[in-house]
Amino acid sequence: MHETGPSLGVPASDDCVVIGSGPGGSLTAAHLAAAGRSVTVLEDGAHLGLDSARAFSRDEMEQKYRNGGLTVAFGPSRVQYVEARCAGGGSEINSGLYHRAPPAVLEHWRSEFGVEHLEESDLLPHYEANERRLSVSYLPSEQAAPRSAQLMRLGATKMGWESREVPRWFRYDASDDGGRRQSMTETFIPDMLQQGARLVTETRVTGVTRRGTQWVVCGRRNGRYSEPFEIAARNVFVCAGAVQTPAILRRSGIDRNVGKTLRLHPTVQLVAEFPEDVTDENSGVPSEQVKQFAPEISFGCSISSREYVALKLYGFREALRDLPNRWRRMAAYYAMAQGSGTGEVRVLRPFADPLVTYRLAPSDAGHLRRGLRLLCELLLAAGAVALYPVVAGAPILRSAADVAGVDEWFEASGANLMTIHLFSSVPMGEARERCAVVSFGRVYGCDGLYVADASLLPTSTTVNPQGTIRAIARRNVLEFLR
Amino acid sequence: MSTFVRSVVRAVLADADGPADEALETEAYLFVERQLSRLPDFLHAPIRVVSRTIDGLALAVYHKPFAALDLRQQRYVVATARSSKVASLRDAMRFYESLALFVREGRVADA
Repeated sequence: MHETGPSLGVPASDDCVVIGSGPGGSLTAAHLAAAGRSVTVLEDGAHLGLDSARAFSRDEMEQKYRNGGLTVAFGPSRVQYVEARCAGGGSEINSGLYHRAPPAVLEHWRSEFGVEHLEESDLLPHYEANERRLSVSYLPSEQAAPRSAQLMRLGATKMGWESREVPRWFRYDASDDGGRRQSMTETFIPDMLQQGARLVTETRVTGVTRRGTQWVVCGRRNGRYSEPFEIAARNVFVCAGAVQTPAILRRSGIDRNVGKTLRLHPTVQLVAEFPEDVTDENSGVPSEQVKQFAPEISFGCSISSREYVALKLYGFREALRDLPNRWRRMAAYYAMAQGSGTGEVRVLRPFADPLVTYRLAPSDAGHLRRGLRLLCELLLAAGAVALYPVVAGAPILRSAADVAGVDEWFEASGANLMTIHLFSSVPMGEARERCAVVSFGRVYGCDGLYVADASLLPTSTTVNPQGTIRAIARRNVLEFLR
Repeated sequence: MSTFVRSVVRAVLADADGPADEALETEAYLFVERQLSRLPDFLHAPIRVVSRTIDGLALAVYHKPFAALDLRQQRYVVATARSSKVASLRDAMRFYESLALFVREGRVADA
């Protein structure tokens, strides 16, 4: 006997059900509720807010990361990835860096995938509205940048490369120069709740099924061994992210062009050691990036908290043993490739968790190798005295001659690749032979069923995708409401 | 499995940092157990098999399960698994070691 909506504290039947409360879901729900629609949001994780744990700590990993952060895309070159599992989704655990999609990317999506109404001018009002709500802004002064970011800029300048600060969703009050990171629990979730939307947390959706004129959302509350529930709705928006959204659709028997074209930004990291202190407990993720070799390769700063530096130094036992004395002189950096490979999200019955596979494109392996070498050159120019690549069997690099050897020993299969950017698993567009949803997110052949998250983006954005996800989610929900 | 995990955590932390710290060991062990339960469900059986293989390595070398070895012997088994030609053994050891180190270094950061 299935429970129905009332046992969850919501109606058994609603106008709109939104699955997931991340950047796509909470924004969609806020706009639906503001337009007077009755909305229930189902969230797999808990509603915690930004202050429930220190950023990038073990507590945060346990509270807010799906599978405790232990998720991997399997394949010849495994890629560790991170997904959030909490109200607010990825916006609660990332660094808040903000980009608009480059014009060339939008042009590619229009020409190759037939995405309609996706000129820069179409997205501009959505970018601007979201940027205002999220307080997208630059640091109050150049001196406010962490030392590790200043060194990246110094190295880039010495190499003659372009380096720039990337804006973040950070709110700076006159009285507080440190600023406060923004997220969905700071913005669109309060908005949607104020407008009357209902947020049901710790509720896992297993699938959707058509029953008459309605969609029935099926799931379980409070863990996978609890009693199942059902909620019927005229419109369902699946916004569970680039892995969970295709998994929900495929479990529901909707698999045409679904989950077969997952893309991501493969990233290789290293730890740089400098002669002076460059990191402290408040460094966060610096917002400096080098785009000289974009879109193929980008460089940036990674989280350099003591426990994360320890993870990255796993292969370097001596440095690890001496970490208490050296950690403050160390900072983590990354080289990110555009991501031309593809992966798949598969449902393995009877398991609840989807299996993710990924095959790195040969061009990406080349970009990662070149990117690592160039990043090492930049950091030596910035004054680094030792570089520790997060690559199995890699040597410590201390000189230009050492760095020249990267091409000889680097193998992508041995690199501990990671990513926090996943997308393209349910691509949008009018090119029906390769797309799963129309230009505005409705699933082909499924009236009333929509997707509004990173899954929609047809290919790599080449930059942090969350600004684009939000702009497209806003564009799509306003079109729905028209 | 719990006895094995606790022993591995103890060996890893001692290997990395000298004298034993029982409170740290307990905290790290409990974290590793929680993380094991959070692994994607299709990985639960494989991690058990690989962990038993490491236990079997101890049996093969010292004729005792891993938990019954002294610290020097445990360190030898850990180092052998870490540098094994079998990727799954290396991965399992990286899993246990990384999580234990994450607790140790995060504990300092939280203090």
